[in-house]
Amino acid sequence: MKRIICLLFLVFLFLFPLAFFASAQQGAVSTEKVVIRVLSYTSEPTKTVQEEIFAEYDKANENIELQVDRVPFNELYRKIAISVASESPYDVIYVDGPLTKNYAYNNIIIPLNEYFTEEELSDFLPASINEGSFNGNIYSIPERQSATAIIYNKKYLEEAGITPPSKLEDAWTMNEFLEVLKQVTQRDENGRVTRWGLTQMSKYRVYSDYSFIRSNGSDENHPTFLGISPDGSTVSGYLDHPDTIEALKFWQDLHQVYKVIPTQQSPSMFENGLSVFYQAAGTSVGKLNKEYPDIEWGIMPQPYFKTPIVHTGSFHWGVSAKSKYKNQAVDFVKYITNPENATKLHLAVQQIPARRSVLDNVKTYESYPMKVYKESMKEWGEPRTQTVAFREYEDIMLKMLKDIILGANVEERVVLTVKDINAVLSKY
Amino acid sequence: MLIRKVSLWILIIIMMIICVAPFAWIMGASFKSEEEIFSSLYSISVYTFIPKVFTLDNFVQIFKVINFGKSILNSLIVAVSVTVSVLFVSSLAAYSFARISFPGRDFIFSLLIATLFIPFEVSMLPMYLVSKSLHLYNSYLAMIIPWIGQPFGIFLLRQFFLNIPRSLEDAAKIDGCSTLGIYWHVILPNSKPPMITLGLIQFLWSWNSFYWPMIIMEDPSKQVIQVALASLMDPEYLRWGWLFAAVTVSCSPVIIIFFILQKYYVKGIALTGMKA
Amino acid sequence: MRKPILRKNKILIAYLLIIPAASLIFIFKIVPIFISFRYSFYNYNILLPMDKEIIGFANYLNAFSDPVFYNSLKVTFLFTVLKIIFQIIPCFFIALLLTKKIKGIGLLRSAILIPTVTSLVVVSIIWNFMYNPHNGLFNLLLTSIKLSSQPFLTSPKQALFSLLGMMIWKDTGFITILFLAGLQEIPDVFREAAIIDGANKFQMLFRVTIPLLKRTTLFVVMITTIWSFQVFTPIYISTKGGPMFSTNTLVYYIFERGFIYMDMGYAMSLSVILFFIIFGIGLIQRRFIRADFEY
Repeated sequence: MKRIICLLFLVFLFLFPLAFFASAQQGAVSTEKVVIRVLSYTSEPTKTVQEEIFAEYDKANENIELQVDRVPFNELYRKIAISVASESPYDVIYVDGPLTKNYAYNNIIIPLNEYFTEEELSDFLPASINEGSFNGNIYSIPERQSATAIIYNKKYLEEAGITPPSKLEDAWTMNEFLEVLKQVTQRDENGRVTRWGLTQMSKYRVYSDYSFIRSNGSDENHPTFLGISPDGSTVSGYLDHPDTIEALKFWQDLHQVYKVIPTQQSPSMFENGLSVFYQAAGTSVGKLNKEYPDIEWGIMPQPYFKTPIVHTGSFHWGVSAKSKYKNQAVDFVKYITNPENATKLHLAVQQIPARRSVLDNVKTYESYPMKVYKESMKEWGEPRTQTVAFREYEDIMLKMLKDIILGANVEERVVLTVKDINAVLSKY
Repeated sequence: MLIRKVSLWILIIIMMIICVAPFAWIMGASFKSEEEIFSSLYSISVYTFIPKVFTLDNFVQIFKVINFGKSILNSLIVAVSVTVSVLFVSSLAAYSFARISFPGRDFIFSLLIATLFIPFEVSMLPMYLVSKSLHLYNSYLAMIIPWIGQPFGIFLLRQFFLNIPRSLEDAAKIDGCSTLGIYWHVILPNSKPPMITLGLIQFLWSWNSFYWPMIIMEDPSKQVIQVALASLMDPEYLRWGWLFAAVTVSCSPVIIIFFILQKYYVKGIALTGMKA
Repeated sequence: MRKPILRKNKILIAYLLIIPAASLIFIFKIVPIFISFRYSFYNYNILLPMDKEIIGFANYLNAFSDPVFYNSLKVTFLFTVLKIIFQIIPCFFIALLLTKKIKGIGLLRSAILIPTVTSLVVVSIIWNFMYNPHNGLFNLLLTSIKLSSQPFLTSPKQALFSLLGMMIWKDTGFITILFLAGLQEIPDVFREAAIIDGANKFQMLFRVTIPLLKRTTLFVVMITTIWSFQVFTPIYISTKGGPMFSTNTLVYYIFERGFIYMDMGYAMSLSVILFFIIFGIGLIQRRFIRADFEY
């Protein structure tokens, strides 16, 4: 009996080294093919289209094998950080545009100037190139662009007898918008809102909420409009400017005093008829077309206080600094962002293409309502705060916007935020 | 007397409702269509819990679109492997601590138990770095091996082994049984209840684990169920119906297993409370 | 003559038996602690691992002058103390209830354990929806009886208590069973003696039962403390430390510093501090248990 126990025990002890070998084998790369590891995200409809495009590349290139990992959008940054920290990074990374500078600074992605000609780069929109650049070098190649506009429920507005503007020059001011919102928000006998005025594609974020705030700058050089000093070293005098505070208070009132915007959203509120207006980028249109064809909607330009502005920027692709197959990785990036695939992506996702040639060729923006998106981007489009510290910046801003929307004292909260942001900025 | 009994029962029923209602709400909602979920949010009625129109669509979708079935399989693989290994490894160690006196025994035991005090979230990154340097990464083994050393298991089994009557062992010794023989012939056969208990607790713990699989497993096809659930909260494509269906699917087996093996689970908790 | 060899053999076997478990625990639980001690003295940006540099006690000095750190201590302690009070008292009485021989009482026992066996991810998601300030189940119930909707997780005043409610609900099963086991361990002899002495229900409760549960109660307090210090998943899923830092527990703050702000050195120093706090509390509580003796 003892023998058997001993034997079992020894077998078990040996299992450990075997296990290590096994797991090492699992990670082993077949020597014939070059393996390109790609990191992207899980959101649809992007995921499906990307998978199609990737599959074609895989087929067309026999000596390349693609290994694609996907994570939810919120996890993307941390995933990249973890993989870098442990020396087994990806070759090709999906980069949220404004984070390019952060990745570049941290040597996560490489400059791509030597792989692209002037001509190749000139097809991309200048705003996109700017977003994907750092210190004069291009680091990430744009997959698409974006802008926000307000989608509205035609039926509800007809019922209320309201005609929203369809052209940029007729866009409402925030005060006019407030009046409309007050009119269309409906409540039941208990005082609970049954139909909200405005919901948003994303909430508390710089992309969605902060563009409203910035519009309170009297012109494009006003501190409120800029949001950060031109040299990127401080937000004092910008974020805490009286006009910014005024706008933040107005935004807070929309949630707390007039209660026309919900402080917390449920998914797909607009699509389910629970709101009248919906601030969204192109992807939401794609979603509406595909899944909620029964809703009649229109698009109007985003309202503003004094100076019209919408935020732009979308996803880019970068090549990892630690990649062993940089040439192949760049080749892959070139393929997935080429005009043909950019068109494919656009048609599926309904987001503004980053390539001029595609933008001019697609019929999507030829007429109303989609025209509003293109025009908004062209006339009013501003990138989000360009800073190396964007990751931390966005997180601090998110907390501030959320706290303000939930009723915090605006001046005090802004003071705290300015302190935090400046501390982060000084690190770089 | 009757009034007392009735009011007691009312209290009991209220408590049971409080415990079960949230699950009932979510499970009921998982059988509703997306539109009905929203429309039922405005007034309390029996339809808050029961669908007007019963639909399996949410369940179908999560298995089709996000391959939820694979997540379930992955969780099973990980949970079963960890559980079996923990039972084996912990029982060996627990036996040694309980029945053999060797130098450093109490010190080593206290040291191992002290590790229970460390919040996982705190040791996560260094643990990750250690794991990677051992090439345990992005594989099922990576999700399994770090958890086989389970101090709670050693603690639980040691408690139990200490209480096995020495007379059984003495009888075996007289019959010429060796140390290991005692383990095999005496301790183990008499330990079915705590083994089942530990197995159950460990299985549930592994099934419910979230943070470690999320950071160590990058391949979504090998990802476990809790992580798949969390990713459904992705605001860009969140659908309540799917989320509710996924929640229902992930906690139903747990609840069913629990009902079957209730007795053992309760014993396990009780044993934790017994300090030698 | 045989004895020494056998004894050596036995000791060898003893070590062999504990090696698999001990080595795994050592590698994956003990070594990481040392690593975090080490890196707490570094300025470690995990995106630039090559650039890490030793900065001595700077991280610790920063921690001690960091108002958010003190806030997180406050939040964590507040949560822990409240959890102990509001968990133990109801669970004790439910356990008492469970000892009564009422038919079907087992159903209650099963019911309270269901939240315990469910994953924290699932529970957090469900309660997040129930607490929804506009459409959640709770507000639905409140408005249907003509009370006003509550902000719950969206209010700095209510958020921590909302999380507390959820965690108490989840842990009730476990804690109640602990009390139940403790109650069942008390030999009937004591109760019988008390009855003979003419004790009534209240006296029985306060002078016999509760004192005899001291050991169990202390154990419950210890476990609740440790668990409360570890609260993370619900905060990660619903409030992310807000609103207004009201749910910014120490563990969540550590996670945020390390993984969102990439300041791993600082995060490690905070976790070292946390480790000592828990260790200290654990030691104090152990003293109480040791000081108690068998009845």
